[in-house]
Amino acid sequence: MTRMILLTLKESVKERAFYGTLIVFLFSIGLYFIVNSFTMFEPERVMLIYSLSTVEIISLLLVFFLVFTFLNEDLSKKSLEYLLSLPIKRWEYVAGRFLGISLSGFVVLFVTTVVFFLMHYIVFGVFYFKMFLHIPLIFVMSMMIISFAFLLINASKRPVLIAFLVLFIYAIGINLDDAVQFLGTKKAASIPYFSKLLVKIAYYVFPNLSFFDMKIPISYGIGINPEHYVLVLIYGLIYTGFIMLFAVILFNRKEIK
Amino acid sequence: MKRFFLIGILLVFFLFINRTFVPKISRYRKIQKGEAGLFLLSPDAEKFISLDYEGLRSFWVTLDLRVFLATLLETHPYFPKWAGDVVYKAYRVASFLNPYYFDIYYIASLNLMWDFKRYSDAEEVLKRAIQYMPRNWLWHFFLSFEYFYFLKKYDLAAEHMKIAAKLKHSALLASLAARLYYSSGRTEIALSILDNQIRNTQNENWKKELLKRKKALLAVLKIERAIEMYERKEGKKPRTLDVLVEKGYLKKIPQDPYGGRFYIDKNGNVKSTSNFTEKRESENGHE
Repeated sequence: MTRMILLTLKESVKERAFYGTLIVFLFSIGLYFIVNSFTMFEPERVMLIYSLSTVEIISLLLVFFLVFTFLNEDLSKKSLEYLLSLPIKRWEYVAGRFLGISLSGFVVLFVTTVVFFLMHYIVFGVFYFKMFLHIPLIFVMSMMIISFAFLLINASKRPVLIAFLVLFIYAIGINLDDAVQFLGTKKAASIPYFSKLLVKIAYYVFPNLSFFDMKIPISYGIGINPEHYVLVLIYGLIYTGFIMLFAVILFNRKEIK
Repeated sequence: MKRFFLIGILLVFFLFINRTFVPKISRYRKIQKGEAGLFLLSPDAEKFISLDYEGLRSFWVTLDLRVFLATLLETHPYFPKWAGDVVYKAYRVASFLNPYYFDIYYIASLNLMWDFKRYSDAEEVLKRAIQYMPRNWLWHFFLSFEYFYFLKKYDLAAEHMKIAAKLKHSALLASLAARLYYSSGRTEIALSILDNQIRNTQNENWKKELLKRKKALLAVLKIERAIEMYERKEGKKPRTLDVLVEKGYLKKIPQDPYGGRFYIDKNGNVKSTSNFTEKRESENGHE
């Protein structure tokens, strides 16, 4: 499995998506100074939100692109048959690819966070260590997203469809908590019962990715309860573990022609 | 080499097309924006489309609002009334997305208060700011100012000024709070604030100033008590302070340490011609 992880990491570095992400990152550094000049009060807070958002966007973009690229190569270009003809087990392929993409995402997440952390120090003269609290959250969230991609390769051979479904799950997961909170307000009184029920079912089925959004509490240094933080990470890890377990079981049974 | 050449051509093309069209299109957009305001959905919908980036969206909405207001002033001599709705809506969206975002409360409260005379909306903005930033003295200060200057609610103004003074550890704000309590007819509270401030102030000059104000308020309190006794016994309010001396409720009219003269205003409150400011100001016509 280590070989598979290393192979995925090496391929990731060679991918165009990786360099595309690097260009986006360089742009975002330039944009940092522009956004900073547009803030009125508390620029350090606004720039923290900007930094954390950018780090998240960049690492998620990379993960999405890598998942799509690898699935495209493995499924469409028949590399999967070649890989499976090598002396590696099926579960090693799935786990190796999964961990390889996750680690690539983690490296980018860590490096971009460190760069923004240093920029924050250069511009505002403060080492804001709480920025690093964001890394595990986004790392676990991206693992959840990647795990869904590996679950879905058992359902479809079309990488575009898988990528679309993963994006769909991401969009739902991000908004689920807000949707449920909205249903609890008076404004939602006119919404049909069936729609409410659907949202509630989705709430307990789809991953609640909005739990991982702690950018505002981290930036303002408020409301970060250690228990809450750890609970969110445990939730993400267990969810990912289960999805990957299913993905491996289904992939072992999958017929590959 | 060929690749760089292609990139160069692309850059020239981008420059050409933007240089030709952008100024013309943006002129129309400016007019359109000035008339239509900002395009904002309801706060819930905005949160939904912001995905995971509410903080950034909140910053963007506020920036849009600032551009909108600046653009509007280029085409209008003063803000049109309808623009107040845009400010209020932008506040609702931005503060919903990031309730800790300082800028939106600042811009919305001041614009709604000064430019659109929407005092209850400004009050709502400031109260929400206090809810999320309870340790920031500025919101209490602004709210106090609104109550005092626009709404003439002196007691509420005094309450918030007192909190602002406490949060900022400011003797000046405490002194203002005492003045507001005095204006709202609560001289005893004003005196207790001053006492507390005198005890905690290290600066000797400032302490001297506070003692002078305390002396003035003690004089006011003495007159107010005499008026109360007069009202109880005579069943009516005295018209002038001289009546109180004539009837023996006061030995003499106390002296105003600021050099003014005490009198009873049309609402029955004790006032001084000095308005408790230094005498040179009253001589310059600041009464």
